[in-house]
Amino acid sequence: MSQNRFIDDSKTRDIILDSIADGVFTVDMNWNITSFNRAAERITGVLRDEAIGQRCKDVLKADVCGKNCILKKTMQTGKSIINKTVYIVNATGLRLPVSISTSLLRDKKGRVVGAVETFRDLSIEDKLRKKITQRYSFEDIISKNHKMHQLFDILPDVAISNSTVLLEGESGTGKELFAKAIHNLSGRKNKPFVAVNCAALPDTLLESELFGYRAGAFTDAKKDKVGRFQLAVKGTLFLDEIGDISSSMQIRLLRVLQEKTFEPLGATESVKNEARIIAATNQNLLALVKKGIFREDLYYRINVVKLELPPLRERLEDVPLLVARFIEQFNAATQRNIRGVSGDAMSVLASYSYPGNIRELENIIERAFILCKSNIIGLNHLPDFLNSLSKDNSRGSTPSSLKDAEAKFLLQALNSNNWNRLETARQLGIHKTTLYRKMRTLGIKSPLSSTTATC
Amino acid sequence: MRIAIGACEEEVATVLDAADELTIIEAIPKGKKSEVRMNVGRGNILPALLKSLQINVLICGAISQPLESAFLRAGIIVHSFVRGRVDEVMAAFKNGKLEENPFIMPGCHYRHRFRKCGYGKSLRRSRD
Repeated sequence: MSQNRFIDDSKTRDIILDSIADGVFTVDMNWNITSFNRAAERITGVLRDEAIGQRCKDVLKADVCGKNCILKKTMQTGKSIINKTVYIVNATGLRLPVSISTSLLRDKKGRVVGAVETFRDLSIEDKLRKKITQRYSFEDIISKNHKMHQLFDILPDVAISNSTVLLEGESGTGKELFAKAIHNLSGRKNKPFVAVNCAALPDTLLESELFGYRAGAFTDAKKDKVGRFQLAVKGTLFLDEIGDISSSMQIRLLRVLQEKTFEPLGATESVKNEARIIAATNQNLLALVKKGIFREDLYYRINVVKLELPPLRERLEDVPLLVARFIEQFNAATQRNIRGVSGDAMSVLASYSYPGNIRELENIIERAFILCKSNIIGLNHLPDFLNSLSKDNSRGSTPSSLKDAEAKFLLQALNSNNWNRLETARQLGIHKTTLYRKMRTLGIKSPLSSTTATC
Repeated sequence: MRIAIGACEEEVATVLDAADELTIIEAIPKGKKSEVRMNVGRGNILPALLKSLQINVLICGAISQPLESAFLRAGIIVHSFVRGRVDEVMAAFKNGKLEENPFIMPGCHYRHRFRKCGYGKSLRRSRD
């Protein structure tokens, strides 16, 4: 009688488990599988009869099995783990993302007798997310901004041209990512990509770094040193912060670009330069040329193709995409499962001006990962200066008077036109003297000096 | 003949794509000449690394299709979806019993049904 009841119980349990769309299995205290439902069969490709009695890791085949076993953590701490994303390899060798949850199993007396694991196949969500991301991404660069898409459109042609490229953009706008994208799209993609930050090295060191030296060239030169130009042979040499190099280094670089040869320090023979040069700067090189700080002939040598990367404040529509990417990266790096950013935190992030550009946004998310103990990043996980901005915004969203509202509107218009008052007046459909008068009465002053402000 | 085993401590690592350690064995017909354990980078760099180390055979746990294809393209014979202690797996490989039940992961027998390249055969081939 009790035997029949036991059989009925296990049949009922199997029917219930099989009706669940997620994969479910249970293990005993030795990690051997004691039940395994139909969805688990479908996801893993292992039949129930083959799975029962086997160690769970041999059946699930997840990348966390072994040292980072989630069931083991639950058994040790007694705490359930909810929706942890891991990868499994199914019986046919397909690598699938799954979301895993675990919990302890107890008998009637409350003693732990094993654990249960449920897992959901995320491959469809993953494919959809990748499809959406692909629409907005180019190599490793992600954007839905129209200026960036114009750059994406010309990048393949720029890449195959082999011409010297100048990337201009503020610090943190992703100049190195663009340089790598150009390298990867070119015929040189299987050759080295070598990056040098010209501002990080003093002049003499930069010279030996770039061109190398021969043994005996100076007191401590015991052996030959290969320079970055030679390391990047047939590949790409990325010269970052080129606006910061000295005038003597400018002459040496000009010579390499003109004659396509260079001499390592102490060498008697020239070496042929076979590296493609991509230069980058966060300064306005033309302005430096006009000031006589940067050589005009070198400027025109490196400015064969110029790409201007917009700062993040001019493509704030990319903030949610970038935030999602950083969360994905930090989740993978820190084994966390943060799902996203709360609505109010996102609206603060999407309205900040980011003087440090994408790098600053990345740092904000990294900091939030440290502080966030739940799986949603909230306002309280953002830096204080952003929180005060949020308070200002909330005050600003309900201006105390029409005067405040007008001032805010004018400021936005002036900012979007880079404080060009003539353009702003044209955009607003008012005469420029009306704009000046309004600025004066509302107490709006240009942040630019009188010499640089454009009328 | 050089054999690499994707390992995690004393056992074959469950998923090679996530394995941190490789055991490299220099095998001769009557036993083994040397055994080296090394920490390796994960994933895509492994096929080139194993090729540069002149590895002929890789024994591993579960492996994703793209990674397995990369090993095959590098000319390395792959025995995948294998489980068990490294020493026992090695002994089974020597005796041509790696395709048998305790060493094959559940549900993966069909992958091995048509494979006939055990240790003995591989060694004979290398001697010929």
